[in-house]
Amino acid sequence: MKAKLYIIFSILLAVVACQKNSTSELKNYLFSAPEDFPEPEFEIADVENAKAIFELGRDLFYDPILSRDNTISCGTCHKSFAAMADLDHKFSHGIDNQLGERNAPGIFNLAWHKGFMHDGGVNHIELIAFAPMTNPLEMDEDLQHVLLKLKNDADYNTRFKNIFGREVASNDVFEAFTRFMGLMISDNAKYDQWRRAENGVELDQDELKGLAVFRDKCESCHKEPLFSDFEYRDIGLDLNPEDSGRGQITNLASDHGKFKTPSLRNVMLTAPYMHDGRYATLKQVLDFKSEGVQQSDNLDPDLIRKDGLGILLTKEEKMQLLAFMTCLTDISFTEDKRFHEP
Amino acid sequence: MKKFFIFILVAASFTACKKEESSSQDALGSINIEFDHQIGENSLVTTTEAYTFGANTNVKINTVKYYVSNVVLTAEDGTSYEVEDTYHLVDESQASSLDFRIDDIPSGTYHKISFMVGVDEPRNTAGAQEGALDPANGMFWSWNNGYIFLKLEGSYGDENENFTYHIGGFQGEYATQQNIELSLHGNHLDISDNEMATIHTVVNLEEFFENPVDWDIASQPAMTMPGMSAKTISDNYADMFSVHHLHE
Repeated sequence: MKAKLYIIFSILLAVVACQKNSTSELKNYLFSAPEDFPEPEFEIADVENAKAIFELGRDLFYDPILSRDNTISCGTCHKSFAAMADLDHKFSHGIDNQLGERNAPGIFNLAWHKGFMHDGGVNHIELIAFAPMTNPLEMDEDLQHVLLKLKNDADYNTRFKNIFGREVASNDVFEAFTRFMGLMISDNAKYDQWRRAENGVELDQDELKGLAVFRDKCESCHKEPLFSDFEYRDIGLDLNPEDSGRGQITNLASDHGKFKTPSLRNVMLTAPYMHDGRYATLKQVLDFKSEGVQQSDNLDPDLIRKDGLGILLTKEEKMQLLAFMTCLTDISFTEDKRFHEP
Repeated sequence: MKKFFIFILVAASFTACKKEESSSQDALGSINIEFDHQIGENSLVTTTEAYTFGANTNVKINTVKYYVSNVVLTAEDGTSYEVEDTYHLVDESQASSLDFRIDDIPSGTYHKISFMVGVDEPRNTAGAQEGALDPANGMFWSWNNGYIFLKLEGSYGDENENFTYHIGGFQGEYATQQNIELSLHGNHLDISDNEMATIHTVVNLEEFFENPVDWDIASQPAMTMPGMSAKTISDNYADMFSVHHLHE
């Protein structure tokens, strides 16, 4: 009797232990909003085979099979060391070595965006990958043809069947992408650790002064803790913006020249700046904000002062802001092996 | 999450159906809306036949595709049955798509039928969809999300130049969903248990190019984004549907 109980008990223990292991492992592949972030706009539901779906999404992300001539992958222009932006490229090189028309943005904290791409033309997190896949300047591929290529690939064919229990379907491709990219959460910069009072991290004098300037003059659009309100604005880059931006999506003259407020998280890693990558350095960006803003038709009211345009910044304030922005670099995100090319 | 939710819904609806069967024995029938593409009085012949629409000459039509959704059947007393979550893609080149069959309709006598040409706003913002709404069907704009509600493609004029009309746009002033109410010409539609009633619907594509606006293809032979022109065209084709006859 005792022996039997003992055996049952040890089996139970083993089961519990196993579950614990697999649960903590599984956690790496489930979406979890940081406690101090606002409610996300999109949820990525917990599923049992999250790891397999995530890895499928990762492999698709880094696979040129998504492009017409199998030369360009998402990872070609979105590099993990640059917080998934394309470092040093105003515009990225797409298929046939064509140049894109807008700067490749970083990819992180997507679930908090209200719309995707610089103009918000993509209205749902699940459809992000569809845009570059079909853009003639990027991957120039047809979704139907991508599905065919994946079906004809023995490895993908088996994986899709094993995971989703059916032939390769567009929904399943998008689900894999959503899990892979949606889990790219950046919430562990020096600023975050300081804010959460972790590891005794402190901001130095310049960084603290920079934060104060930031809260006084930048916060209305680059809202903490995501450092964006994800709204669309014309910030007066040009008197007559050539790229209509949001206006192209809504057909409204009042949206002409507006682009989504970019997050400032990891901003040190994502040069060059602006939707068209016109500024190579953050110093240039601050000079523009302070002295270069143009009176465009839809110029954001926050950039209009009684005595002029832009956000007046002293040389010292610019230096302090730069110091603060270094605190938004999240190395634990860029070094997270889950997001790297396997 | 969505999938689980759908699964639960499906499971729940099965349960609901079973309950109905065992208790109240509610009779359910079906309808089939048949789409018959015509030019004037004649059946549409794609690719080879040349048509004249007002000032547009030598018009050949290669592609006709459009969404039909949100079907509503209304009884004489004004009560109506709304067919929810049912989207159908009509494609002239796929014979089977010309039949839009809807099951599980409560039996009764209906005097009106209406439907939407297009896809309602919520489904335009709901992410990756399946079935008729699968973006792989080529009826979804990837760079400016939203469904293409209707596609008409072909060639025109002496030089056989191409025209491409992708009509869509689901919100604001230029929303192009068209709600169509079909006259049954004083007849009514009897839906009875396990029977199928057929609504033979003529779709006169001539209407795409006229009424209220005479459309000159040469002035804008390509339209691939929402806007005022798309709205104009959708107002034109809103009256291309008419019931020819019913059979029960």
